Amino acid sequence: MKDRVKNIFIEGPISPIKIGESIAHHQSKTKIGAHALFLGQVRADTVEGKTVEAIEYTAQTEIANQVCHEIREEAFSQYELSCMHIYHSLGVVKKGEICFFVFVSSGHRTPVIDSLNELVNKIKARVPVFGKELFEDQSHQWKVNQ
Amino acid sequence: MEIKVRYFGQLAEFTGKSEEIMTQDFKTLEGLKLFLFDRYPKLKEVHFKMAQDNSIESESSELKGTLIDLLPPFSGG
Repeated sequence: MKDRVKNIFIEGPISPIKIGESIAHHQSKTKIGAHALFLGQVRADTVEGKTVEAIEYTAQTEIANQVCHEIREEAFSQYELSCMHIYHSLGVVKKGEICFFVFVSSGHRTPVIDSLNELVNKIKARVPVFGKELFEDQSHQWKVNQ
Repeated sequence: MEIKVRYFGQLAEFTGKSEEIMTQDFKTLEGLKLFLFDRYPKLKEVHFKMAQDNSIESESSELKGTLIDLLPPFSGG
């Protein structure tokens, strides 16, 4: 399945309503029998007594969208998927809010379960997004992915 | 030739700016990197990738684009 480069970015947090609507949009696609979703949520990590209040995301958006397009094509060629949606926040996302949403659908469960973890790992490793962890006292540190 | 150099994430804190225009000639991306190390020694502290005209390339690549991006470690998700 070949398609155009899509914009994965959403300004601010990804609302649970949008996630619900995204699921609802697939009810008309009746060849689908399985969905798998990954939701990344901002964690209130504590570092040296200070707690993360929010993460501010920036990105090199042109490269990020292009790399996500490549990751998407790789997944479609490797797994039997009907559709795939990737969203990532830009700007400030508060603790407890959703910043990352990956959604894959297929006729059956195996392709969605197998592809989801791989997709999330590839996006984290290859997409130029930068997280700045903001503490309650206005200081910050740069997020490091594990 | 004029090139625009952009600094992402914590690299903008190391240089004190998010972008700048350069008019010097550099043969390769590495040539530009060494020049920037001289100007902003703190850049040596973080490993970064370089992109030329929206494509991540190796440092030995010939510098022929007009937009160069310095990208620190990715931390999306």
